[in-house]
Amino acid sequence: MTGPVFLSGEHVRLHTVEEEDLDAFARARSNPDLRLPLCIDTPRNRDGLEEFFEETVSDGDGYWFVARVDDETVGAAMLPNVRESDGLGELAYWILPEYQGQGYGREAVSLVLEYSFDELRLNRAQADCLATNSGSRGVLESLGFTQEGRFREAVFQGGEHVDILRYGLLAEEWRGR
Amino acid sequence: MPGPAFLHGERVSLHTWEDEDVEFFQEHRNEEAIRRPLTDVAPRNREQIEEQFEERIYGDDGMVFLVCAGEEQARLTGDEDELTRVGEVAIPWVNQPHGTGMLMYWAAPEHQGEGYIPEATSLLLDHAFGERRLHKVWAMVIEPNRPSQKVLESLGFEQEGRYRKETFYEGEYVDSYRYAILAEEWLDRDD
Repeated sequence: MTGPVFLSGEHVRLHTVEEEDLDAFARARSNPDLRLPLCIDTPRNRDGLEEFFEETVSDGDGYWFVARVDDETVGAAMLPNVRESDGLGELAYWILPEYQGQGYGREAVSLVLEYSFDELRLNRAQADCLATNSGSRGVLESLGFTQEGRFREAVFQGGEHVDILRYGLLAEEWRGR
Repeated sequence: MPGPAFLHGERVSLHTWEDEDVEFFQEHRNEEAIRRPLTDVAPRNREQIEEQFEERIYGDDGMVFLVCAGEEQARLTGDEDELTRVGEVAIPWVNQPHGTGMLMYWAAPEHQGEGYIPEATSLLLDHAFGERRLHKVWAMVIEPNRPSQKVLESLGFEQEGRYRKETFYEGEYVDSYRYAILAEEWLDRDD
């Protein structure tokens, strides 16, 4: 059973993450096209995913959503870490390969940002992104994020060291866009 | 011994509650003069107090402190022999994301009226508004508890509600007041 709709955009709807959605998460964790941009380099089996579901998604820390378009799961968007006392949320997202390039990632992220700033009272959203991930950089930049830093050779991938870019967006920038 | 001071002022400091402080806590939380104004009617044995310590004291958002008075050096190190345990100030939980928290405090009867609680509360508000990004702190106080209302008023809290005959106190129903202060009021005050 799909979880209920929590946030609605023009095409994308963000739903609560249910146990049934773990198949999509399993793909994101295993498919190199997805897991490499997400910097996931350790395999995790079904038991591991169940544990992730119980202890991470369902324990109340962070905010997790499945993105669906026309009743098909296209990806996920989340704030896995929120520091309430600083008003800071870390943003992450992925879109399944067959649905990429259609603006779904951008719409899903904008829904999460609106939620972060208008409902959660956050002041800042930040996201880290591989320097080689032009799709994700495009999403962040088109939404008004500023590149604030470059962590040199922070990740080892495909036989080489790759830079990580840190992006940030403030509530006032989001409201004034 | 009490932990080293987490926040310290001129005369008092706020410390983490440690196992060695359970006796002080239990004695006073069972004492009529303290628990009655707090509208707490339940007896608490050692087991219950220890459970309460584990559950509430260092949960996610809670700010729960033992108030101590004494020489500055002793307060900084938490030196048990040189410190006097005064009471408690706390915002035991925070309603996120609204950023609201409930304030409570008590002092052992022999330390009431000495200005310790206003100073301790002031330290706690500096922390809550200045470091923890709270937006509003509120407190409930029963109508007969005038000293506590004076503490709140002296700190700039506004009475924003009267709950009619809300609390059963010494054989009759009494009103309770709700007081609150906003972050901008606290951070912009001139003193």
